[in-house]
Amino acid sequence: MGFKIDHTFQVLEASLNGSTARQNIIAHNISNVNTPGFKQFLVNFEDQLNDSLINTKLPLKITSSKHISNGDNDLKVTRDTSPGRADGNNVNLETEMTAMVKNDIYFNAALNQINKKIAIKKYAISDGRG
Amino acid sequence: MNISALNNSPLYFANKVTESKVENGSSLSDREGLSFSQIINQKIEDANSLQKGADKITEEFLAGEPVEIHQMLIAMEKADLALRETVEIRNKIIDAYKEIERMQI
Amino acid sequence: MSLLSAMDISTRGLSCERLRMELVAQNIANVDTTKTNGEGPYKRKVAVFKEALQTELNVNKNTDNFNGNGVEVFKIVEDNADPIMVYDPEHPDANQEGFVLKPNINLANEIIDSITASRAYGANVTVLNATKALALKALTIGRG
Repeated sequence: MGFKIDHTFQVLEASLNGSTARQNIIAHNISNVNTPGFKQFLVNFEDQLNDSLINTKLPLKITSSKHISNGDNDLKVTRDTSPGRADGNNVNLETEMTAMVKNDIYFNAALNQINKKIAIKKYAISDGRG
Repeated sequence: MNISALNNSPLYFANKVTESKVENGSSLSDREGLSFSQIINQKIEDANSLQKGADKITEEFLAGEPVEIHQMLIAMEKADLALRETVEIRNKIIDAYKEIERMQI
Repeated sequence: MSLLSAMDISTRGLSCERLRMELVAQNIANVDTTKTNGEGPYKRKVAVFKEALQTELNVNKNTDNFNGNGVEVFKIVEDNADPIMVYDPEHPDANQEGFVLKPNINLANEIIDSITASRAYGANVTVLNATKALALKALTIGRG
């Protein structure tokens, strides 16, 4: 196309994808709060991002389909194998609701930054002439 | 003599810029023989480093580092304002130059 | 995977919990039903939930190990516990010895079930609203 999208922009996009996936996972866990034997899903893509960006253990590969990817693995999702309650269900409703609130804030913060960067870029392109 | 109308002229503004302080506290006019292009370059550099800082703190927040949200938002706003300020200064300096050109001597 | 699919997941949760509430209401309404279409007293009905997973058709790309698709009702079972015997010789369905077979429905348990279902229903509503807010906020991208 011509202009280079900066790295932070790509990280922001990947974060929004991860946050969306996390919303799905939280919704799934909460909808199964009364399902006997259900083991909740766990996700923590921030650690994956951290490994790539801060510790530079693995290079952050933003693939063309905008996954967060280090090596072959995309977003790491695991099952919580803890025993849970008497019927085997290990969803903690309070924890999941809190996780949802935090995800809300995370999503909105990333959204704000991405909007800001777009606005700055637009201004720079229009060269300050409205 | 206080001709307040002059205060809005590009010349006045451009003069103010050379007296203004940059990020590290030293006044631009302290430096010897600073041209307008050097001023602009300095401003661009400052705006650029602010943007880089905002990008860095944003990536840290997204990666789960203990970054305050307001820190991150303010950093981005500062970068935005610095860019707009730089562009405005450039525009005003150009206007000042044009006004000087137009002067009949 | 999108926020819209998250809304579908919450919706399934709402449907299942609502069904549970309906069964509780039915159980309580039939606490004195001594005769049903089959024979014998009413049997308590319970919904068994099961985790819903994505099938081949509706698989959501973009995360890989996550294949959750909400919750669904596995089946509605009848509680085969023995009915309770109540001494009531005047009752039209009383047997030789004057005992009536009444449904083995424990009102306290039913109330607890309804509270559990209600709490879960509320939680799903909260998640649905939060997801909706995120989706609407995302629509502001690029608007200055």
